[in-house]
Amino acid sequence: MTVPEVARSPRWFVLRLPAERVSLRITPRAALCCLGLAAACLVLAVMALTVGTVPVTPADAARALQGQASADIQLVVVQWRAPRIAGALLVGAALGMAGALFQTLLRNPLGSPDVVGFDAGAFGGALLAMIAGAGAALVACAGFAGGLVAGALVYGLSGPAHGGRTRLILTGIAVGAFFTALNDWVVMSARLDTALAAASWRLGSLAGISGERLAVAALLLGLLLPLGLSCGRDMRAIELGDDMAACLGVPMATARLKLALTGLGLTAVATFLAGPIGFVALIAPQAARRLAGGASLPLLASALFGALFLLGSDVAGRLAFAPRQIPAGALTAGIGGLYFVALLWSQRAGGRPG
Amino acid sequence: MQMPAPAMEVRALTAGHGVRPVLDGVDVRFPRGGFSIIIGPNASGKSTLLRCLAGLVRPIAGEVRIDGEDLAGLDRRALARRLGLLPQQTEIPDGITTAELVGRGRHPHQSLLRRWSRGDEAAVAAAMAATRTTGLAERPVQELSGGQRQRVSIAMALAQETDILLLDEPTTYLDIAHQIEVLDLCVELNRRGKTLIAALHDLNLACRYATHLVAMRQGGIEDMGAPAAIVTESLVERVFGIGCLVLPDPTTGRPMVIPRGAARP
Repeated sequence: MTVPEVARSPRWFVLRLPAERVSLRITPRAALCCLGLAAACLVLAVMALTVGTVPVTPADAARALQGQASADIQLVVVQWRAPRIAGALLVGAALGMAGALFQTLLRNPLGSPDVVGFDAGAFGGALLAMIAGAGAALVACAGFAGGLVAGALVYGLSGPAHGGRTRLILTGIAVGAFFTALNDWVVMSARLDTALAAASWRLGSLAGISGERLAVAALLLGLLLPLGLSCGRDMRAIELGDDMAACLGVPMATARLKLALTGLGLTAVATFLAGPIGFVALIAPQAARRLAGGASLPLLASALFGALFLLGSDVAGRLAFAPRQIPAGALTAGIGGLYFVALLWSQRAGGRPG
Repeated sequence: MQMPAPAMEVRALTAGHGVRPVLDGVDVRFPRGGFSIIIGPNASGKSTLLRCLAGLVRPIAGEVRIDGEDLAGLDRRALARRLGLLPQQTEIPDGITTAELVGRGRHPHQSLLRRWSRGDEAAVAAAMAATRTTGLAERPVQELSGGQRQRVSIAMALAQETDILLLDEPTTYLDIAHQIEVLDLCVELNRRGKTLIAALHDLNLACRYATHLVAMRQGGIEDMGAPAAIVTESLVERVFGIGCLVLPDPTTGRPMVIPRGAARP
C-alpha cells in the first residue's frame, strides 16, 4: 500500500502513512476546536490592529505592516499595536499551555502556576535582574531562576511526593503570597524611575512591550511550546495516577521533571514579557477541555484559548474605558475571580470537579 | 525434579521505607503460567511485595527478576511491555469513555508519531472482547457499576499485551457476585497463558482460585505452594492468628477455611 489510509470510527479519524511509520488519531471535535480558536485569534488580532483611539482601516493596517503607510499610522500600527498584540498572543499561549501542564501534573484544576506562586517567583527573579540593570536575555533567565526557586520551595516545603497534592497547592499559595509581598517591597524600595516601570509591569500589563523583549520571548517560546506539546503523550498516562503511568512505561521522575521545567519555563517567559498575569493558566485548560471535548486537558487548545483570552482581555481593557486603559492582568483577574467562585460553587454542589 | 524457570522471582529482598523494612530478606518464585496469590493479614507486606514486583518500590537489598533478568536493569518502557499492573484503585479521568481508557493501555507500544496503529486497534478490540466490555465502548467509565469498571480496568491491562499481569486486591469494593466474576475472568486469562500474580484478602477465594499460594506474615514468607499442599489449621493459626477448621471445599475439593471465632449455633 502506498497511499495514506484514513480509517473512521464513531469517535475519531485515524490517519496512517504507509508501513505505519506514522499513525495518528484525530478527534473531529478537538480539531475543529483548535481551528476555530486559531481563526478567532486571527480575527481578533486584525480587529485589535484597527480599533482604538486612532481608528485605522484594515487596508491601512496592512500597508503599515508592509512599511508603506503614513508616518503616524505607521507609528500606531507597527510601534504601538502590533507588538502588544503579538505579546498578548505569545503570553496567553504560554500561560495556557503551562496551566495544562501543571494541572495535569498535580491532577487538580487549582494546580496552576499562578495559584501555586510560580509566576510570583518568576516575577521576583525578573524584577531583581531588571533593577540591577540587566539586559533582556538576563532578565528572562533570572525570571526562570526565580520560578525554579519558587518551585523548589513549594516541593521542598510540602514534604514527600506522596504527602498529597492538596498540601502542595496550599504550600504553593503560601509561597506565592510570600513572593508577592517580597516583590511589592522591592518595587517600593527601588529608585523612582525603575519603580514606576516596575509598577506597571507588576500589574500584568501588555502596554509598552519592547521589541527586544518580544524577540527574546518569541525565540524562547519557539523552543518551549513544541517541547510542551511533546509532553502530551506522557500526560495521558500521568492522568491515570503515578503508579499506573509508571506501569504504562513512563519514567515518572524524568517525566515529572520535564513537565515541571517546561511549565516553569513557559510561565517565566510569559512573566518576563508581561508581568504576573493571573487566571489565564487557571482558566484556559478547563475552558479548552470543555470546548474540545474528551477527558484530558488539551495542550494545543489550551494554548490557543489562552492566547484568545488574553488578547481579548487586552483589547477590552484598552477600549472599555478609553481613553483610560485597564491592564490586561486586572481584567483577567476580574474574569478569573468569577470563574473561581463558579468552580467552588459547582464543587460545593457536588458537581463534577473542574 | 527440574523446576521450570519462574516468570518472576525475588531473592533476599529487603524493601520498605523508614528504619524498619517492610520486607526482610524475602525469597519467592512465581511460576510461569501460574495464578499465584499472595495472602496474609494487613501490613504483612503483600502490597509492598507486589509493588516491588512492579518496579514501583526500589529494593534496599536483594533483587527482583523477570524471566531471569534483573528488574533494575530494565527501563520502564521495556518493562511495561512485559508486565502490567492492575492497581487497587485506578484514577479515572472525568468523562473518559471505555474505549478511550482501554486504548491508553497501548502506551508502551506507541510513540510520538505512531499513535494508533492497526496493532493498537486489534489489541484493544481483543482486550474488550475478552473482558466482555465491547458493548460498553462508548459509555463514560464513571457511569459504570463497580464490577463493569473493574472489567474495563482489566481490559486496559490486557491491551498492554504483557505476559505477566499483577493484580493488587482486584476484588476490593466488589460484592460477592462481582468478586466471582472478576476471579473467573482471571482464571480464563490464566488458561490462555497469562501469568497472574495477585494480592488478595479473602483466604477462601485465594484457596479456590490460586494455582500457587504465597502466605506472608510480618514481612516474611511463612509458606508457599499449591493450596492443597500448604493450607492447614496450623498455617492459618500462624499467619492470621485465628483458630479454624480446614475442610475440603465440596465444589472443588480444595481446602476451605472456617474460622472458629466466638459464634455458636
